[in-house]
Amino acid sequence: MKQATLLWIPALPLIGAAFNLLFGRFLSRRTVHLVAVAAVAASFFYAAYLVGGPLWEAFKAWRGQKTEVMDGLYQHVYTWIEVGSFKVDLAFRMDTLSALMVLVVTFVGSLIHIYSTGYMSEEPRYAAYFGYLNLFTGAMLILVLGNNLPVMFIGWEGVGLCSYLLIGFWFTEEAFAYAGRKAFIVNRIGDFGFLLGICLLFYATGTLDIYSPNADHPSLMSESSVAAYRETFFGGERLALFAGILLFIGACGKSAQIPLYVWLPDAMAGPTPVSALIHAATMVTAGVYMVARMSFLYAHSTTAMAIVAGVGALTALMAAIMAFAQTDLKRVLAYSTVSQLGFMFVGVGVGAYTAGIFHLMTHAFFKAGLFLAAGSVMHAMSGSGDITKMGGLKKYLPQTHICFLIYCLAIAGIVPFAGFFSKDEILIGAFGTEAQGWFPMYGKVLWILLSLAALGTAFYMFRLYYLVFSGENRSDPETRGHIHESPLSMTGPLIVLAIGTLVVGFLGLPHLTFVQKYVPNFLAEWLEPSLVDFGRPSLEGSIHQAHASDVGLLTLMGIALGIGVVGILLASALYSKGPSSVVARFTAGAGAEIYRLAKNKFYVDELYDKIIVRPFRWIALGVFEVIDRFLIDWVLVEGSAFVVDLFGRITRWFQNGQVQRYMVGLVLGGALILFFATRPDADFDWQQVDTLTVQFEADVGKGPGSNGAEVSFDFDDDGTADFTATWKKGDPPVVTTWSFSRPGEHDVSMTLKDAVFKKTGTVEKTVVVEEASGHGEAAAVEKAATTDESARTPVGAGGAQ
Amino acid sequence: MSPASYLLLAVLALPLIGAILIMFVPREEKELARGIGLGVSLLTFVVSLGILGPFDGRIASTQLVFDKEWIPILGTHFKIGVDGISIWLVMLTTFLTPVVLLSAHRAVEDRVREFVAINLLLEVAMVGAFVALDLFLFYVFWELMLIPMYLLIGMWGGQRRVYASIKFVIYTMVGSLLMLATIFYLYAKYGAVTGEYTTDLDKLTTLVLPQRAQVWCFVAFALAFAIKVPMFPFHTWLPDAHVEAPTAGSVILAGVLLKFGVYGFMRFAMPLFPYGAAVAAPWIAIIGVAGIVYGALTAFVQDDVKKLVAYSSVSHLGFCMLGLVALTPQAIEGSIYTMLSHGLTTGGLFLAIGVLYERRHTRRMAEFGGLWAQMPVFSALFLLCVLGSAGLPGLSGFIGEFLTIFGTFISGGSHFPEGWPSFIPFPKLLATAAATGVILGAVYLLYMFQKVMFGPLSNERNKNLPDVSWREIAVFLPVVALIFALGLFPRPFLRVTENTVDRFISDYKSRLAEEDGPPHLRGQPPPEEGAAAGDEAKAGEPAADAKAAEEPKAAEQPTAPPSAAPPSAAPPAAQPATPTPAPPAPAPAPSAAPPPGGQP
Amino acid sequence: MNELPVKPTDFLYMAPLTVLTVVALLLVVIEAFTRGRTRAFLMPLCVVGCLFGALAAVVVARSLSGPVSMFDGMLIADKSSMFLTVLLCAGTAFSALMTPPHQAEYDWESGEYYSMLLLSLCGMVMMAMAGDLVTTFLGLETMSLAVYVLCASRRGSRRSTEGAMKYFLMGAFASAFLIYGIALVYGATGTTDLVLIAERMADKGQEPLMVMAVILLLVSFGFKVAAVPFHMWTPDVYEGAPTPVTGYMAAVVKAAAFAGALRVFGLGLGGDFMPLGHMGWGGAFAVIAAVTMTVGNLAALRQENVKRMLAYSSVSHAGVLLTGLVATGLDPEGPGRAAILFYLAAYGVTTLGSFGLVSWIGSREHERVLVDDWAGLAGRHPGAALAMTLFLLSLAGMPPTAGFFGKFIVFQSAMQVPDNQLLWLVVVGVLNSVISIFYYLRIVMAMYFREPLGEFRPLRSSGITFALVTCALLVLQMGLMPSFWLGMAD
Repeated sequence: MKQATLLWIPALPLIGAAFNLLFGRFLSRRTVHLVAVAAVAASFFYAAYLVGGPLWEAFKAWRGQKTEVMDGLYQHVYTWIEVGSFKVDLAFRMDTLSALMVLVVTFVGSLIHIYSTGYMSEEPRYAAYFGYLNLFTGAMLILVLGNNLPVMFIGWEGVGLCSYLLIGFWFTEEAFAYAGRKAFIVNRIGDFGFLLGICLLFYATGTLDIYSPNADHPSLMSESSVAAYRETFFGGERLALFAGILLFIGACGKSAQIPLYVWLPDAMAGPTPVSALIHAATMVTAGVYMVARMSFLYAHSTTAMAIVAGVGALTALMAAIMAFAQTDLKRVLAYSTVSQLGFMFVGVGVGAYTAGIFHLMTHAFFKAGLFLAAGSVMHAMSGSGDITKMGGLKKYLPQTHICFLIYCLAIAGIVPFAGFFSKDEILIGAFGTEAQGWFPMYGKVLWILLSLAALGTAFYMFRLYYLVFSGENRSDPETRGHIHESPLSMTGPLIVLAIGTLVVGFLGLPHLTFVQKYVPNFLAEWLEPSLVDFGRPSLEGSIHQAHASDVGLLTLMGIALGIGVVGILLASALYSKGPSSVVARFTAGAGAEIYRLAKNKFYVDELYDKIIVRPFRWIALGVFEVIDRFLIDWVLVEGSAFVVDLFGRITRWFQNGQVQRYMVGLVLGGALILFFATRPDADFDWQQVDTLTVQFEADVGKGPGSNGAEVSFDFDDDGTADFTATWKKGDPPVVTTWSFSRPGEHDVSMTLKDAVFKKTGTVEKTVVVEEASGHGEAAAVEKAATTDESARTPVGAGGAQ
Repeated sequence: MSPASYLLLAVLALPLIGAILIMFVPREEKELARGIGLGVSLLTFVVSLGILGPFDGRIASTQLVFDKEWIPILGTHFKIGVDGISIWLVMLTTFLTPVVLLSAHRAVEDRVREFVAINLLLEVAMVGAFVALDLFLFYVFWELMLIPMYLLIGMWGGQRRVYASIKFVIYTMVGSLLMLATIFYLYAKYGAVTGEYTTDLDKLTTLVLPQRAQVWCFVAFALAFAIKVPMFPFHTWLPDAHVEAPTAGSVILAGVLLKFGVYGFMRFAMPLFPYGAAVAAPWIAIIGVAGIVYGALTAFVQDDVKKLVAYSSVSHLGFCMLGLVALTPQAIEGSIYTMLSHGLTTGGLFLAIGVLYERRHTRRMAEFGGLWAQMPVFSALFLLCVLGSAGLPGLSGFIGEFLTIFGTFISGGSHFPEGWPSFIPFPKLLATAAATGVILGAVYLLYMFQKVMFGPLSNERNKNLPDVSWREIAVFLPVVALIFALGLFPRPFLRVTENTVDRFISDYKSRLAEEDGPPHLRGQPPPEEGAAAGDEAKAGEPAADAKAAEEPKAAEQPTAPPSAAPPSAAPPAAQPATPTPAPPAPAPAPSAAPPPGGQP
Repeated sequence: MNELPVKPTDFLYMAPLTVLTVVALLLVVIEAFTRGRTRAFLMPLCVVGCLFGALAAVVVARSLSGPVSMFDGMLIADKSSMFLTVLLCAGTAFSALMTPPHQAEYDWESGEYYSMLLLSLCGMVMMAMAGDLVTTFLGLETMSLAVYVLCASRRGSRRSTEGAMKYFLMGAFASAFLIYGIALVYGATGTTDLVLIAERMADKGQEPLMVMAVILLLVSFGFKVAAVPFHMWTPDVYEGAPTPVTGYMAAVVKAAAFAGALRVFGLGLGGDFMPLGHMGWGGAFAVIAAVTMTVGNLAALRQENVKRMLAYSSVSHAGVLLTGLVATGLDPEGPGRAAILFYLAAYGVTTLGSFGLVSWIGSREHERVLVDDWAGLAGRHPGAALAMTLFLLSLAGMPPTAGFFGKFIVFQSAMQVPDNQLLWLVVVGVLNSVISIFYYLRIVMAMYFREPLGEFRPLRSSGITFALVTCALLVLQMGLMPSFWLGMAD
């Protein structure tokens, strides 16, 4: 393990953020954006230095002897939380995977920062904007570099916060603010899962560190944890399933997958560079990154992975369909992002982690580019993003046009652009997948879904392209007047990204033997130490990839390419000269239904509103009104007050000022005391002395009876006294015996009539008669006592004392 | 009694002296009164910081104990001291008092002198109740808190202040007086057993009451504290009190007073009546979770910002109660931490609302909107408090909530009410339910924030609201700074608490392991039932002679060996091993209301 | 017995009584020979008399080693009786201090007032020291007759006379009960000496005669201490009587009644063999206590008239004191007696203070006896408002006041009665405090939360101010450092 001050990577942007947020409003725009850009750029170069230097060394070393895990770079900053056995270090780790992410984030981030200086130049809250942007970068880097889940969670929620702030950046628009809130809350729903996932993992493994520098302290990767993942939790399923799904819920929220994708399209309310950075290139891919990061967990539950892949595939297709009918430039891109993220999840879900991450990377380039280009277009169209009002922009915005075209080709999966290679890897991976315990065609089904999605992608992207750039310009003359190419600060990043789009694809050339012979798939090797390799014995019997022959691969690639081309041709046929009559006829006639569905996003938002949002409010309101207001406050509180007051009125009613009444009260009081005080308190003890024979002893109590009384017993409960005696003061207590006919319970009552007031009191008890065995009295008593115990009647009083 | 223990005494004495001083300030000298108040409270805060020096976090027991005989005939002592649990709460109190005094600089214009004096008195009472180690002393301070807060609400409150203030008092009294009756009972029993009559907490905790008696006593204590927390459904005094109270009142109320509920459970109810606590634990957990969700739901539908925040308190303190009974170190520390953070975040929120109210004299969300454009600095501060309260990682709220949920989740044993299906991992269920609070918290807080801060600046009267003044920034800054500090560097705070919490748990469990039987001291075998039969019988209810006869054999029964102590607050786990005829199951526990006067 | 049953020392031990009687008679004479202004010194003289009485009591108390019975057991001087004597004297002195301004304001100066005050005091002290039912009766009657006059002393007001009349009628009625009860006791036990009665209780305890006797005694004392259902005269009389007198009755007369009750029930009928039922009169009194507290508080809830409210509150306090009495009876060794004594002191100080303020705040044109009349007092007279708040809190039994500690130890002693016999009573008691806080706070509310209607024209007099301040300070002192008083009472 190598030490390295990784802290600087996230710290630099954070410092920039702090600076701009605190002092930015007092400084010139120039200073503000210089600081902001510098912070991110510095972070990029520092990261690049670390990757190029120490990490590269470590990588080479690892490649020498392939040990279990490659250590990479590690830094323990300080211990964040520590309670008992639960310890969370604020520690960062850079391995090949996180290194890749860091580079992508900081590189694309820097470009977008630069782009923003042009795009946002008119913005009054300039400093705040760059502050947030820096803050986001910092948070994202914490997410990526965090060595344990809680630290990841800091970044995880941090980026959520920034996206909330940036989506609602132009908060004076009610709808924008709402979009921001929606994004945050939907993300929170995901985080809820993530949080519980963390708890469950610790509960199972006793650690949350993804990697632990010292051997004796276990990490989530170490064998002991792996064993824990394989234990059945409940419902006979593996713990890995539950943990995996809980974490994946988090990923769904962040990476906008079904059912939590709804926030992303609305998130386009934010400034375009934000959409490019947060909602296309980096943040939304956090989910994919996390799944890849936790690959060692997912690898242990076929079901979990199948769910990841399945959700991904469905999302990919559905989003693609939705994208068909959108008329807003950025919305189309948003849905395409959702769809592309679906691709990535399929990648990681079928165990083709490299493919997933590869696509993540390429997508970061071309999708960021697409958004920035869109931004440049809207900038030219004086802010409007309505593609029905565009067209023929290629002559106005040449550079933007070229770049945009490149990106489109990339996303459509045309050789040799980046998208082709990465998407292909995923398709191949899906095709070759055999998930144990799932239906045999599982992989093929995924492949078909994805292919359809890919077709869709190619189609809607070029529909977009044609509607924007070719044909006649459909905007109103006034706008047309203003159309102009964007400044260098904006076009520059476009070009850089376009170049990137051209080259990054070659990092991961397909696994064709003849290709690999000369140019090995660099990315796969680079990522190998960070992702589970299925050679590990402990992973047997999960998912594996059938190794296809070159021919197979080539055919698959061919098909993929073909699909792309078909999509493009279709689009050009329909849209090359603006929306053709065919489309109009289709949407009006045969496909009206489908068109409307797609246009309204399958009414999912409406559905959620109906079944979740509104009911939630109603329930809350009902709970408040019924329980809080009515039951507690009115019935209980006011009610008791009312009752008390009522008694008050009653008592005061007696107080009418008449002495007579008072005197009556006096006398009555005395009489009452007399009546109650002279109740004779009769009681008797009993104990069994012989078979069926019980001895009774009368107790005249301390009341008036103690002056002499008439005691009478009724043993057989027939209402007539079976034994009567008169007791005088000073006599020994009245004692008598009675032999019962049968064992069991008998109701015996004693009546006491005191000699003075001639008032009678009666006490009745249940006497339990045993078949007294040889032990004689003691035993009998003992038994009696215990049986009374079981019967829980007060009888025992006799027995015990 | 180390010299350091006089520090603690000073923390108590200073505000008192200040209050008396201020009474001699002529009525017109408002500034002077304010100055003295602020100075004294700041000084108190500094002195209380001084406590941290001699305080040793490695020692679990109470420290800096100042013990002086007070009423020899009753055996009551003036005994104060701090341990890892109370020290931070004391700090919180001494920290918030100057803050509110500063914040009220413009809000309170009439009867300033009284205002300052009352606040200082309140501080005395609160600190006293936190450090009291003698039941009598504690009760005195506990009741002493009532009147200043009552006056605070009543004298500087809103329109319905009379209703709110009296509701606050009556609610609290109902609970605390039953607690008083229970204190009598405890006192008498301890005296009967040892022949020494005292209200010293340490001594009383060595007394083991018969289990059925414990249940009743715990219910009585629990009621007092549950009302203070406030636990659903005893919470309805809170919204009214908050809405009507002046900002200062709300801040103190939410920041400190509510903590006494949870603190009371920790310091008194659970150590004194472990069995009762064990019986009640599952219900407390359930009610706690119910409170989390309920508070969030009700908060969501409020139009009055203050009411919203008030209900959010119900939700937050649900976390505290859940963590407390989960009985894992993480959960309990989480609950303590939630108390601290809630004191800061909610305090901050109320301060912010106060700022708005000073400017617009309304708290209705509908009246606001788009304020960010008008007052950016204020909005930023407000947002920080909101996020802290919503539990954003890196801010104070997160640590508490996370630890609580986490600790509950991993807590072993199922604290289930007896006879409930036990195949579900109950703690995990609770944790999951509690975790929804994380979502709901974001829902209502951001809803509020959007309504107030975002959207078009439509309302004419909001068009030229001034942003926060330097004084107001000075009020917010320490709060916000602490919100960050607690979020980023929780370890120092947790360190100090850790040992105390561990000890609390181990003690609790060992007490729980005590044999049932007539009142006796810990570690001693219960005496012959004949001796204390009457006492035990009447533990639950007085004049039922029938019980008197029944009870003795309760003690005859073979009681559980200490080994049968449940791993966590899980009496049902131990229940089968403990065939004690009395009490029959935890039947009495849920009905938190009835005093030791009636039959279950 | 061949030698004289009277020892010369007896005269020393009865010094307080003697002093007071002499001063009282002196006052009568002086009053008869003075006219107009010169009466101004009657009050100081009366106060001085009380102080001398108290002083004597203190001296006696110091010289006491154990209980000393005098005149063949007619009087018994012991610590508690001396404590009560001091208490009664002090209370009377305070009432006297508070009277003159009120008299001047509502012109009902009457010379005999102070002599009556002192005479009633003599009766009370006699009750406190009584060792024999006869002396008890003697003291009671002396006191009552004087107090009837005091009630009526505001001749101008019809309410005053009406109240006095009611009080007199009821009082006579109750006295009849008492004397008849005494007769029956004698019939049952053949003696009226409390100590001897106690000795004979063992076998005579449940004799029908005794039972009847005890019931009669219960009724008569129930009347004197205003326990439900014998309390009904209280509100009318308290409202009618001039406020200083009301204060005197609520604080001092009630204390005396309890002093008598302590003697009769605590000494004569208490202990192991309590007559009447198996719990003895304890049971009866326990129930009465519970009812008294509750009814008193409930009735006070909606009173608009402060004097009436305080009257009902005094009823409920009688309930608390009865609780203590029961505790003393059931467990004579317990702290019950000391508890009652302390409570009497605490309650006396508080009540004197509160009634003193009631009389202080009013003026001829606006007597201010309604709750609303107190509105906004805090704004105008913060000191007075603070004091009143203190008194009310003390009445409600909130710390750190005397009232709180009084309640505390009374219930404490009740709880220490073996077998939790009184646990339920304690619970009833504390729950009652909740109800009571409600109406006490109504006045606080009025004083602090509302704006004043019209100017306050309170009575101005150094005497009353002194008395009020002292009371307020005492309320705090007794709440915070009760040890001293407990030591005295024990």
